[in-house]
Amino acid sequence: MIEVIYMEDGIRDHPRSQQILARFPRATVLPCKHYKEVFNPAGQSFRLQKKKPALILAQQTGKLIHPIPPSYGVGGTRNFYFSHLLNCLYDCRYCFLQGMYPSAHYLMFVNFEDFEEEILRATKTPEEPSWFFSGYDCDSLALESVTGFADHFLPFFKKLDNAWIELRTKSVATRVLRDTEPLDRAVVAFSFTPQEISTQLEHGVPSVDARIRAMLQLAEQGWKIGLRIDPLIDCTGFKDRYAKLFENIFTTLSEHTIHSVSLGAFRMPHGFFKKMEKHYPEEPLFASDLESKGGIIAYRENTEKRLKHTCFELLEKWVSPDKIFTCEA
Amino acid sequence: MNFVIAFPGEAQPIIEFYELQKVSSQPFAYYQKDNHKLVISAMGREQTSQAVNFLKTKNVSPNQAWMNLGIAGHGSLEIGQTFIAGKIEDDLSENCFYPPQIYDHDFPVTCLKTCSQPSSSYEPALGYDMEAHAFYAAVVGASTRELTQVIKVVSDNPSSPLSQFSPKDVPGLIEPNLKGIALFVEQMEKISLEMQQEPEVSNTYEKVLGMHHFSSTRSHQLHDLVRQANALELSLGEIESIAQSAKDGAQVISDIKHWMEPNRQLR
Ligand code: SF4
Repeated sequence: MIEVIYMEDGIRDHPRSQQILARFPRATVLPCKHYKEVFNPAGQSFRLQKKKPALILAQQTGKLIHPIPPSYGVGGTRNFYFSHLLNCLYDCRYCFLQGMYPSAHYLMFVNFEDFEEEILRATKTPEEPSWFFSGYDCDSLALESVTGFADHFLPFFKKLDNAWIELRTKSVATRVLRDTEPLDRAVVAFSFTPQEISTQLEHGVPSVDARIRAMLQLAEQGWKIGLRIDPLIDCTGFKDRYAKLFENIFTTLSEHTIHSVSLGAFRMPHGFFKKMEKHYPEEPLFASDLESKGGIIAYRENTEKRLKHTCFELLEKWVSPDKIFTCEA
Repeated sequence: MNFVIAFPGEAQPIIEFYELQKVSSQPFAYYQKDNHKLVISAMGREQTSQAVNFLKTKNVSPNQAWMNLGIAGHGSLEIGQTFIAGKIEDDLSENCFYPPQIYDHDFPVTCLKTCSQPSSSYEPALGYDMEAHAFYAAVVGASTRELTQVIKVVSDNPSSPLSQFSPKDVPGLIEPNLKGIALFVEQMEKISLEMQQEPEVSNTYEKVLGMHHFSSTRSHQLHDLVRQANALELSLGEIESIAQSAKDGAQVISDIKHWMEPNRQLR
């Protein structure tokens, strides 16, 4: 699956690099001084690289965890994200990664221990718990077989008594969770759009039914489940499609297993949107009834309200409203 | 495909395979047939850059496929083995290129170093040539990096060094690899086509642009609307009819927007 691995000279002997190399004995390994030489140059095509992404093994330096604004919706008052991996196995047409990064190669930072140190520092002082979101620049689980991320970080978070972790995913590769005793302060959040929309926009993503089955297994095991109905996509038959999606989910999972549900309409920083549109000029999503407001491309206000309101009403039939959150940006 | 090749002996098998015709001899020997173009640059960085710039003048649309093909020394591959450059170094520069590898093939991918002088010392897993880095530097900006590739055939290695190599042997090294190279070329050309704008969009845009006066902002808006209508699978013929009935450019834009509005939902 990975044919080319670019490796920073400085992490050639890192045990995690060696483990990954051993997993891909037939891959071509090309050395580089710094990942930016491979990942950052202008003139690469994200769209073309998606056909066969390479893996870049590197070390992340500088700030390793980043604050998240409260408008993110879920979490607590102290929210952070951290990225052991940039880019994703899947290819969702609405994904901001396409607009954010010049390359679609999987960029993995092997220095997990440095992330841990910074997480420890952030959780030391305050009384209130901190939330850490891992699926911001990638899917938290889809490349687990390569990165071993959850396998490494779940035991670490288990030991922290004032830190929560949210794994955000569309993957059904949940074995690492099934093999782990559920953590009290972990949420496994699955993102959904109705199957008809998923088929059109979420390339390579497992079916809605498969994801619901994976969620059920984890819920039965005792994992707290998050539902991320984000992005909401305006479409013909919007209400019926989302009603069917919620019915499928909530007739399978009981409400008490649901930790939180978040709703957010499709929105994108203007610059990212323009790049995405350039990559995929033939994409109908980008021809939707969108407008630019304060540097963000989003549905018109009325449309956005309608989408959120409709889904909120539909969800209220199944889940307590205090578990439903809306995300603004 | 735009082939940039240093020597006639390296170019000859390609010229014959694609049945290219000589178009001109100055400033570079230039061959062409259909969408295949080939320029013979001669040896070295400067000549290679100039040959790329010459070939750029023969290409009007962006994101064409570019290939530097030729022979190279190699520290560990067998004589006659074709390889793809996955990293291109230069003995005069710190700057390296990493051509993204998105194609299916059986060739090894290795590092390649562009040298100022023919190299007679060999490091394992490293190829040696005199053009690739300059080629890549000159093409960057004219096409995406995925569509800019370097393919070399090994002419010398530690057990058969450069001193034993005869230029007469060059066509014989390249010919047995032509089938694999052609498959690679075919994939690049397919990808290049995928990156070209849909002709229906530019045709409709050009037609409507000719019907009224459009300011620069409005012509951009018009282009976006035509592209969006195409993405939404709406009839581009209808756009032409709307434009014909409108009194000026401003009305064209507003009438097209109005017509598209109910159709902008995803299906
Ligand atoms: S699963 Fe998430 S991170 Fe991956 S492509 Fe889709 S939206 Fe992006």
